[in-house]
Amino acid sequence: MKKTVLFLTLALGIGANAHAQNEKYTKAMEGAIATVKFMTPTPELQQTAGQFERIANAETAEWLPAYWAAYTYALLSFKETDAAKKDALLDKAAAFYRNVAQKQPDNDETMVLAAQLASARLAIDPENRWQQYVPEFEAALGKAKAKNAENPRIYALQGQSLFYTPEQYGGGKVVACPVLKQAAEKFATFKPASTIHPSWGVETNQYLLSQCGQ
Amino acid sequence: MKQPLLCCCALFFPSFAWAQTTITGKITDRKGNGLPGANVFIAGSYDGANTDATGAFSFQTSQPDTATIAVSFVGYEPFQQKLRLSQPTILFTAKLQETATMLNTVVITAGAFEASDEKRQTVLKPLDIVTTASGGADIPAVMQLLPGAQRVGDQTGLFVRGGSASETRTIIDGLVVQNPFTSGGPDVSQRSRFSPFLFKGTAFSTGGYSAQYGQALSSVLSLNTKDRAEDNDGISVGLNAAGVTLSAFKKERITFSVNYTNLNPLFNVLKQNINWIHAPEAGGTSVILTQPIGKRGLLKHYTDVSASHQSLSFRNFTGDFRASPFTVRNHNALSMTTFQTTWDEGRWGLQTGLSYNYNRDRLGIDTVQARTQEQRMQGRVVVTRSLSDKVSLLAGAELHRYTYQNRYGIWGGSLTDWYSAVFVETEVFFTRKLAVRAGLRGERTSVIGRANLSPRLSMAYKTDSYGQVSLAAGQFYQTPDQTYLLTNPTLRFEQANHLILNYQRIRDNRTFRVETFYKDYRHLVRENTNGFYDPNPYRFPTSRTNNSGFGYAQGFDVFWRDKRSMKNVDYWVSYSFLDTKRLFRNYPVEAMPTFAATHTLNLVFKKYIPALGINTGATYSLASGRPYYNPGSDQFLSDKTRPYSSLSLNMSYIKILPRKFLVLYASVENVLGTKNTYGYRYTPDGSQKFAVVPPFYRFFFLGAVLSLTRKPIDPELISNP
Repeated sequence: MKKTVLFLTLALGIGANAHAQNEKYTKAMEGAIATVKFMTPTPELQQTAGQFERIANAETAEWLPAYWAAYTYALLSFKETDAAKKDALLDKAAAFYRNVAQKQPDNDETMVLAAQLASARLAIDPENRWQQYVPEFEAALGKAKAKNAENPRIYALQGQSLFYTPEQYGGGKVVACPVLKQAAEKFATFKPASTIHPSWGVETNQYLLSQCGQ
Repeated sequence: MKQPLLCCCALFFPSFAWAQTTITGKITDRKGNGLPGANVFIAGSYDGANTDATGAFSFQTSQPDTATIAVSFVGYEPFQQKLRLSQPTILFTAKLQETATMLNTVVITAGAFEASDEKRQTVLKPLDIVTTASGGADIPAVMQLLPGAQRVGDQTGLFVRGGSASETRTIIDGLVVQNPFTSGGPDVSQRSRFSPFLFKGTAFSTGGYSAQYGQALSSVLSLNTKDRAEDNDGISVGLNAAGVTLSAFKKERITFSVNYTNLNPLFNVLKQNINWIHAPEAGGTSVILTQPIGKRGLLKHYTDVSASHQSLSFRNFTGDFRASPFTVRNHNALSMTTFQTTWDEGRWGLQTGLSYNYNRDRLGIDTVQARTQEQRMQGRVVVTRSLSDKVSLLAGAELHRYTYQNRYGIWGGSLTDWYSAVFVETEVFFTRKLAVRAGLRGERTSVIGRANLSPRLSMAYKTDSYGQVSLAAGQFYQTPDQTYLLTNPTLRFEQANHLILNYQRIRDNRTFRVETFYKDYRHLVRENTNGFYDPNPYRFPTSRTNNSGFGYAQGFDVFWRDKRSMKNVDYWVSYSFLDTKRLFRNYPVEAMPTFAATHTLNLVFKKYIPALGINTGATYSLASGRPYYNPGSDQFLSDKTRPYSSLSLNMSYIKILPRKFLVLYASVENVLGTKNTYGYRYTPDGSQKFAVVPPFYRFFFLGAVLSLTRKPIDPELISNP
């Protein structure tokens, strides 16, 4: 009898523990993801990046912590003003990206992340970097589209790039806005696989779209 | 029975564990300054925190016994340490080492200007070559706007710090280019043969360069070709006031071009100072192939074949000074193949190359027929090995076969030279702030049967995050000019010793650079002309020669570039001061040479106007007068021309349409029409003089490029999001 009780206790304990662990992971991720916004102050965003890094370090089988860490470092690079520090932040993002690419090579979100990182690198010195990063950006988005044409972030990034490209270079509102609109439509129907799967891009897209009317 | 159960509980219910340990402390850099935002955590758990503004942190962990504490921070090496969690509160501090980056690691810069995309901290970018007014999309012409180079409008080549044009070597992918400039008539500086679009990087060294390069007393212009062709399949048509260029690309593999130039229509429109019999006419074709081999290998091939013809009416250097015809017909071919690869994760590197140069000039100078033919075959191997991130080694060898034939009227001759060189170089980073590069180059040349050994040393010390001091010194040898070797194969190497001290500060798109130098020339070839000086640059030297010439050059230059202060504006200022004298060639006494100016100033301004999509630029150059030969003067080369000044403007417009891309460009050289004089030429009796002037006082140029590609291209100017 005693033995059975012990066995049951242990079995239930392990199960509960595994569940608790899972819940802890999801909770921790959700908490961090909630702060991943461009408007979040830099120190707080840095905390978030640190949190993703810690989770990634603990949950080595998961790809999402590294994914979000890479994305957060890309955001931090946009907020940073010093070009060399921007590159250092993106070097860090690139390390997490490699981790994601290893685990999820065929995931369209991985490809979108690659495009996002390329556009962050490009933004540091567009005049001199377009030759390397524009093809990289386009190739990554092209691959993502072939994989899953419903991913709204593909159109959001494409529209954003066109929005900031001067008209005489084939950009401008006239060409960007239909793409941003397309992104908004895809966002409307997009359901992330879980609360901690990639879900970013809506706000920026809305912000740019709001400027289209003017 | 109770004891094991408790153990089990502790194992399986970590959240129930009693002991919560608080870890607190500070993360600093090597000097003890707190690092805000560093991530401190227990490896394998969620427990951790980011440091605050002072670098301090505190967090709790429920890990039992021992744990691995990890610290990570952008720009610093990660840190890990085992920690015994024996007390309720544990103090932990760590000093992080900065990661070696472009920003915090010193770069040896004395004497060198680089334009490169790959390195983040360079003074120039490849695009500068095509967007600089008065540069005419010609690499050497843009280099002339940098400190150290002289503006010599009536002679061809790069004149660096008191050195003649023959003291500068042009190198493509490590291989010497025998005739980098087109052939032309007297008193007109020629363009280089190469389109700037072929290259991904340009390094212009004004002295103190690496042991990898030899046979240059003053300067090395080293160009690196692109690793792949255009990203698209497509064709491009370029049409300008002087000719037409057609190119076709096969994605990342092949670029094929044909061009034809005829300046006759343009010269009929523009007012000019040259009386053309046959305006310059040229045609050529080139092909570039790139082929990756394996994962890291790259094979590149480049062949360029061209022919040109021009003829002008020219007042002769000798005789009665009547106008007489001067004709040049040139054939040129250059073919080079290079292979590069790395292995063992980049610890080993190999660069090899083979090339063949052919150049033939047929000159008609009044009634004299002259002909020179040069051929150079060369092979080069360089092996690099990085022993650690602090020490790297480089070793290489070159072998050239050079033949030269010259006929000038009744004089002439020919020679063959086997030239071989071996070189080794090591770069050592003693700390991230102090780097030293030491090299040794040994050369042998068969035509004079001599060998030399030249040591090179350069070092740099980083004074703070943005500034650094560099020092370079070395010995440089060059085989005497071919025309001298035809009559005297017992000459020895000409020699120059360089000493350069440089300070450079690059911060946020602003560059400040100041450099001072001393150059000591020895064993320059001198003709024994018994005090008679013949200013004819085409003369065939028939006097006896020896190596008794010498000279010096010293001075300083200052460079300031600012891309930050004004929106969409990029400007630079360069100033050079030069003090030089030399006794060489047929100079009867030591004098400041005709190609040297004491003061040279360049102001380069570029502005992008987003609303119109137009890039505009202006360049103003000012140089003090250069010496010229006046036979009536008491002192040799004591007369100087008036200062040279020129204001040039350019403008380009780029329009991208899906699958098309159009560039329109226009430029004006010397928009103010300043009547510059490069020197004077006297009749032999000294009674009459004629000014040597630029071919145009004012020059207009315009053109267009239309590219049709398979997919739309995004060019350089995608603005910052």
